[in-house]
Amino acid sequence: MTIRFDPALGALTQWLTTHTDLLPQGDLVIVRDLRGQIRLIAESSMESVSWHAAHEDEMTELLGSYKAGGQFLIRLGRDQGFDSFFNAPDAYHCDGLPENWRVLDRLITGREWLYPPNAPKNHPPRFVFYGLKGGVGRSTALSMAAWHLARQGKKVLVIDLDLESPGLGNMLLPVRQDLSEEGDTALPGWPDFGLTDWFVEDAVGQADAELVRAMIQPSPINVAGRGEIFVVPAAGGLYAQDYVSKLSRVYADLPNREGIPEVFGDRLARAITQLEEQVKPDVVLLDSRAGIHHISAVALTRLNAFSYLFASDSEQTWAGYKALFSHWAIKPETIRRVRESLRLVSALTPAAEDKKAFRDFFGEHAFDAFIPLYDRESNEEPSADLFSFGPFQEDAPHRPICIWHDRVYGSFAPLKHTLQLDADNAKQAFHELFSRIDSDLQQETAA
Amino acid sequence: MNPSEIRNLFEIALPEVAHAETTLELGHIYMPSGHYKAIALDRPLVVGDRGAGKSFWLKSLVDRRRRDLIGHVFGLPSLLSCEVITGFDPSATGNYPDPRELATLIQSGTEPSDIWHTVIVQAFLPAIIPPELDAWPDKINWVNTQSGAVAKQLRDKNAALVDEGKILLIAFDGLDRLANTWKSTIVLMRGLLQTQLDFSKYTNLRTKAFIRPDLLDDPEVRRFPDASKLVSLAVKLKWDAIDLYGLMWQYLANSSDITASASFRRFCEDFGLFKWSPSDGTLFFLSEEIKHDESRQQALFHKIAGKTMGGKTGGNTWTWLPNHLSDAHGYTSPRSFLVALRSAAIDSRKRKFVGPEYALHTSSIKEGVSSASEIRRHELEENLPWIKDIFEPLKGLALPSRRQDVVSRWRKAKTLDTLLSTSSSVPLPEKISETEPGSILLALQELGLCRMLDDGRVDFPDIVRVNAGMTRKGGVPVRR
Repeated sequence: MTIRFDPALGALTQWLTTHTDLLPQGDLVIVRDLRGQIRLIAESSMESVSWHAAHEDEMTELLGSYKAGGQFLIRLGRDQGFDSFFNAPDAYHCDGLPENWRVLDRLITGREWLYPPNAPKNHPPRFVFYGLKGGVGRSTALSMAAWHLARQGKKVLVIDLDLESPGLGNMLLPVRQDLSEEGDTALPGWPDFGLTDWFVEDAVGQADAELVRAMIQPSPINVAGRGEIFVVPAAGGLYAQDYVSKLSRVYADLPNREGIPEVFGDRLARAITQLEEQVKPDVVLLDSRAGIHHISAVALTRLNAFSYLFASDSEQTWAGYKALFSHWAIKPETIRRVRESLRLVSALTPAAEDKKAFRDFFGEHAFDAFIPLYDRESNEEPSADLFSFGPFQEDAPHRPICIWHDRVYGSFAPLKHTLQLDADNAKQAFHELFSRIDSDLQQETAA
Repeated sequence: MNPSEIRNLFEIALPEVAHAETTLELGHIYMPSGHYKAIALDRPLVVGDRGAGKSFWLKSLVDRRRRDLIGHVFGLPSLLSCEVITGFDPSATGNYPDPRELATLIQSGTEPSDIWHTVIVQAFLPAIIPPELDAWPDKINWVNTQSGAVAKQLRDKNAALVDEGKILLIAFDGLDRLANTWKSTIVLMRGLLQTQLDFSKYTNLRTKAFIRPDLLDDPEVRRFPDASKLVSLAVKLKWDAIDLYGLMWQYLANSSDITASASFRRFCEDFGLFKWSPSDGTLFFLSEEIKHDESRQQALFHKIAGKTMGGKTGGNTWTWLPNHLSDAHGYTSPRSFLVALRSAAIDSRKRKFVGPEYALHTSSIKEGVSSASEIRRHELEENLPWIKDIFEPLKGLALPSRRQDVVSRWRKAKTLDTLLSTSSSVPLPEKISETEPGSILLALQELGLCRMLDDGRVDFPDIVRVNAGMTRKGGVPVRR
């Protein structure tokens, strides 16, 4: 029978758990390359006395086309590159195998899901708004949250990370107009540059304070008092620009100025830090793009942010979240680090619903997707301190924060439809979201 | 008060796991705002879950001293000029037939409403039945044959009471123990309700029955003309989070350690949070204003336990316990709440605090759920003795669980046979069928002890799950 991608790695680790004695007793990495083909790389100082050619054949039988060509077991010295495998940030330990063995899965996109965090120690509280699928009211909710926080006198920095389909700028900055006749070079009320520009300029060493200043624009949304919303759009307002050529360069992994290779997430984190240093905001809201993507990987797992996960109650959505969380489960450290900051949001909840019934159903359906994030309780050692929840538990991450959708917010353009910034309307629809953000902020500032 | 003094007070003032019986300390009387109507003399039906205070209020009404205290402290003047007689209470003896006598009466074809009519007549007109009639069949027979004369005397008695400005109340409790089959229980219940409806024409001769919700919910109980007139007056003994905390303050302010309780009352007042109104200088009650003031009560609890349950998830310490202790219907038994807090205080002694020290450690509050779960099991087993056989085979089950996995455990353990063959003073719910172990789930669901998911899987609330040794599913292996 043909061996397919999914069972191959599992079959190997299963086999290895009972044959560890055949292999060198030192550090070892199971590497799955870009084709999904697998081989073992062992640190060369340790000899294996029992690994024979016969075992190579056995591997062909076990893995089929997913056995890498050539030698299955390769020995590399630490200076020959072994450490670049063994110490890769997304190499993880697999249950049942020796402590000094790791698995490294070479991914093309989204590989940063399992990377360690890259947030500096001191940064303002960050909130990521993310939706597995688009069109679930994410950017609207983010804009309303920014307005709510600004009304409390806070300085809010809002960054559009939805580079593939930018939208936040259009909500919070003046409507894009046609080229004016007086020879303007940029949209009025927009910053010249956007986040995309930072990546291309950074690649040639020009992402300096001057550029960063030209990426930030205060929103004309009127807020009484000291509060202010600063917007960083994905694309700037310059008329003459080729957005697509810039965008296609954003995700490149490039060495930084000291020549140390950086992945996309490291660069993004630097951009955000620079923006934070410029604005000195009380709170940062990040509008992450939808889908299982590079940007979301970084936003959800590496920025040390609160993650508000938007969802509609559909099979597709839950299957997607479950796939995502199950991937994190490969490296439990990631889950332990991230799971407490996850909040689930139902943004398009019809206001007329029976609120309790809606919450119960929604939470119940979300529950299965969230199970991979929770601690597995054992019979022998019950402990109250576990991160485990029942389907209907009030404070569980899978219990939704509901935005009770009102027609007023049907087509969101707060600068045009002033009713959308009416305090009563906003409270009706968004009070659960607002109060959760408030309490997260309070918690963060207390800690 | 420093955290350790507060911990000591929690330990002394709050009840332990060991005994589940209701205390009758005067200082423990707390009246949640929803309970006024339950005590009021014009409400014939009071519905309450196990441990919600049915027996507590019955005993408080019957006892003159407690009744007067309640009348004074909670501003219920009608209680001061009334007299209360017990019409049924399986935990005490009185002028009413016991379950065995009731069974015989039913078997011999006596109308249940005739039985209750006689019980009530005898209570309101103690001299009317000739003293030589000792056996219940004879009494009932006599009252039936003398119905005209009895009715006249009742009218006269009522008129006299109106003139005196007094009320006579007969109260019934423990009605789930009327009979050992569900069917007989229902028949007797219906008879009682019918009789209560008959008596509702008397202004000063009142009846009141304390009933478990699942009994009143059985449609057979309501199957008599005009039942809705009576049922619509039913009052539910609810315990919202604020009521549970109110009860806790009450216990803390009136403990056996007079000095500690006095410091605690000062501690409350020093924060400008609470005022205590002394009844006579020895008992202290939460003022009505504070009773409804969630933000001030919450602020005080936050001083004792901190604001959040820690971690980024946070969770408010104030809502955490009521949420985690509630059953599938959202009901939290006050006793389980108090026990959870007491054991949390004891557990907090050995905990290390990161940051400011509080009397209660968040981890200890979480641990408190297991003590609460234990006390809840006691309460349940006391009220529903057969429940033990149901949960025993579910030990180790990971939740939520497929329906067939739950049922097959019962099938393997022959749980249904055990349930049906063990005789118990409390009848099995009628939902439990003789042939289908899955019927147990229906019964548990109605009792608020389990919950069915949309896709048919079964889940149990923590308050029963923890003590029954069922676990929660999760993807992350727990680090040793």
